[in-house]
Amino acid sequence: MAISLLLVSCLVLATVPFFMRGLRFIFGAAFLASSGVFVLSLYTAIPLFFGASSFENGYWYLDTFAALMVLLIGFIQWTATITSIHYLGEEVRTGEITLPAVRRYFFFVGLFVCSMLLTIVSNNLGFMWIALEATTLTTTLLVAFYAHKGSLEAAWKYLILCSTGISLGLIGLFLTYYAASSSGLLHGLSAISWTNLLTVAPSLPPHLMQIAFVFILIGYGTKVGLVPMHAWLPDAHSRAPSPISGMLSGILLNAALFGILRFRVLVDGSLASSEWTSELFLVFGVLSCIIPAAFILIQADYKRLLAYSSIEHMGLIVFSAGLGTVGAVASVIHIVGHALLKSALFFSAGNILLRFKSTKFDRIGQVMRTLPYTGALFLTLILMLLAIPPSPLFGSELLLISQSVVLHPIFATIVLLALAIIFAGFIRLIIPFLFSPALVPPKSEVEVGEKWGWSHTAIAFHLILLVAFSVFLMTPMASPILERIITAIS
Amino acid sequence: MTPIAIAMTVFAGGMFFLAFLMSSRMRLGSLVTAFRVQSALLALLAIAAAFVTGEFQLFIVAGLIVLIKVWFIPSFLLRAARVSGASERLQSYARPATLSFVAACLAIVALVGARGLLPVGADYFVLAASFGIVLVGLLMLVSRKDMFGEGIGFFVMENGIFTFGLALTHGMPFLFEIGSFFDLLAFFILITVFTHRAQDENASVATDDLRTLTD
Repeated sequence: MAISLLLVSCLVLATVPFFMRGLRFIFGAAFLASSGVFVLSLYTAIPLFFGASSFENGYWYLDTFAALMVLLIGFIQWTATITSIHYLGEEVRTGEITLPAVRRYFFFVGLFVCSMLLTIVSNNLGFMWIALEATTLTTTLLVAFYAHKGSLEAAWKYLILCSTGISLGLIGLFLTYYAASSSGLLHGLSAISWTNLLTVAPSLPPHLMQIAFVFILIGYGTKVGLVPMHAWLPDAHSRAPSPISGMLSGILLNAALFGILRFRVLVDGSLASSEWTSELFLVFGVLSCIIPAAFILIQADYKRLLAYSSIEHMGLIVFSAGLGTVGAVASVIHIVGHALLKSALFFSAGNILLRFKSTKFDRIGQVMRTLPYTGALFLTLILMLLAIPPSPLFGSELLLISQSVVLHPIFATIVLLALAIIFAGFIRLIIPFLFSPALVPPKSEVEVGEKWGWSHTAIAFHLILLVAFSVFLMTPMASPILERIITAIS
Repeated sequence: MTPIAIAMTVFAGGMFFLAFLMSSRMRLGSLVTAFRVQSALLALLAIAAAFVTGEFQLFIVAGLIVLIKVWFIPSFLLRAARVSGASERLQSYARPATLSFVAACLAIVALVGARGLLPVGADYFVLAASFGIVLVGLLMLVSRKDMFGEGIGFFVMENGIFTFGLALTHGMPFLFEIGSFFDLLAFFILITVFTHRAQDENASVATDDLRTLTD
């Protein structure tokens, strides 16, 4: 019931702004509907962290890991809506976009959130696949939201690459269905029901499940942005409106990864070992750390810098997931930390873009002086992204490095090197960006100073949650909850 | 082999042959016609699978293939090209002869790959043909230099995956089939929106004009 209500509330978010006439009413309706989604996500997910058993029926399945993802989606879509109200309000005021475009924006945001939640709560792998493809289809027009040449290019690349990837994932799904039905274990819809497959996983043919997993990893991995299937990600994230970039990076990538982790449990069950999938995770994880490191070092665009950083962090999460139970703890902490950090960073980047009208480093300078609140928040978030305490990423990276040094020292060295390059790259680019004058003088005078607004409050919510999460991890309450989450993905 | 198994092999073989021809076709009209015929063969394949399994829902799936892939997508693709004033002549990175040669190599890869990966007996040729169609679809996706060519490449690849599903599972659960058709339709609508917009912005649907975002 709660899950159905949650999904319906997303459709309300999609449709209600359409019936509103003035901009204030559209924003008001979007805010209320989005708040409804957030409250319902709390109501649906919170009990699972405090002892409630997993919810399961033919269509929905919600365990502690899915509940964590629902919470992240619920919270980030809420702060993204608050940020969007500020962002779109400014763009309507300057004539960049029109009222129908704002309605269209919230329509696709609602559908996007709905399809992400469907991906997470589906008990059926077939419906999960449909929902994951729907996340691409609902966000493509958001990536192409502006009538800029680059937007069309980014959206086209996004549509073709992600749809092709997800279609290849369908082959994995067919093979899984065949594995379950040909051996007489399951039939019809139940042959792609996750909970049913889980019960028969040890009897599934390992050879078929391995081939299926390769297709799933390549297919869904395209959506996660794993190297070498990542080509769409920097373009789409840099061209979409900033609140959308925040949602793409913060929650969509995790939703796709969720699909891979669900499949992994089945394959591990079939092989009676997690060694084979762990090796694949380690290879894709390492690749996804080193390639972005090179691009971060030479980056000229701050939204692309954040996008490449997302690839790197998804790589770290996948790498951790290949390091056994300790690695799984690190990956869960990293999923939460990165989702909250990166979305907030894209929201801050949106404020900078609104003021400077450029995403190029050389055209922007003295952000700290021009936008003191945004600058301070941006700097704090960047430092936390670089895993400086009290960032939760400090804990996750410490765990993953210490574990990988023991298990795979060569991979650990490569990842450490990549992290060092990325740290240097970020500091090299961000310090002048915040404190030094722009290399290329702006075409028009840039207004100095800003008032604290709702977008700052939304970003501050992220920061408070991040610190609270770090503190929570140090309390005795953390280990039983983390244990429940890890059990759900192993 | 039973007559139905022979018919399925012939339909799948025909689909691969059409994919092979499409890999080097450079006119939108002939490409769309070939896709239409290929989709009709896919519908026949679904009907044959329905006879094998006795599943009535596969007839509905065949009907949906005819409705969406034989009629709707080809007709509206041509209409979108006409309305936006896009050129009938399509572009590619390689010469037609080179593309045909690569497609022939991919056929060999598919035959060997199907044997190595999935030794499941009677449907081997259908599986090999489906692999071949997927690979040629991917070839079209990477070799074409215009939105229509890439879009049709995607649809060819999707036909290959559908053929693979039919050969392997003799039809997935009906609700899932309906959902995947819905996604396909949404994908097609987005393709037409973007080709129209590209024609408006660049007076061309060439993807060469979409190469500004680099590092």
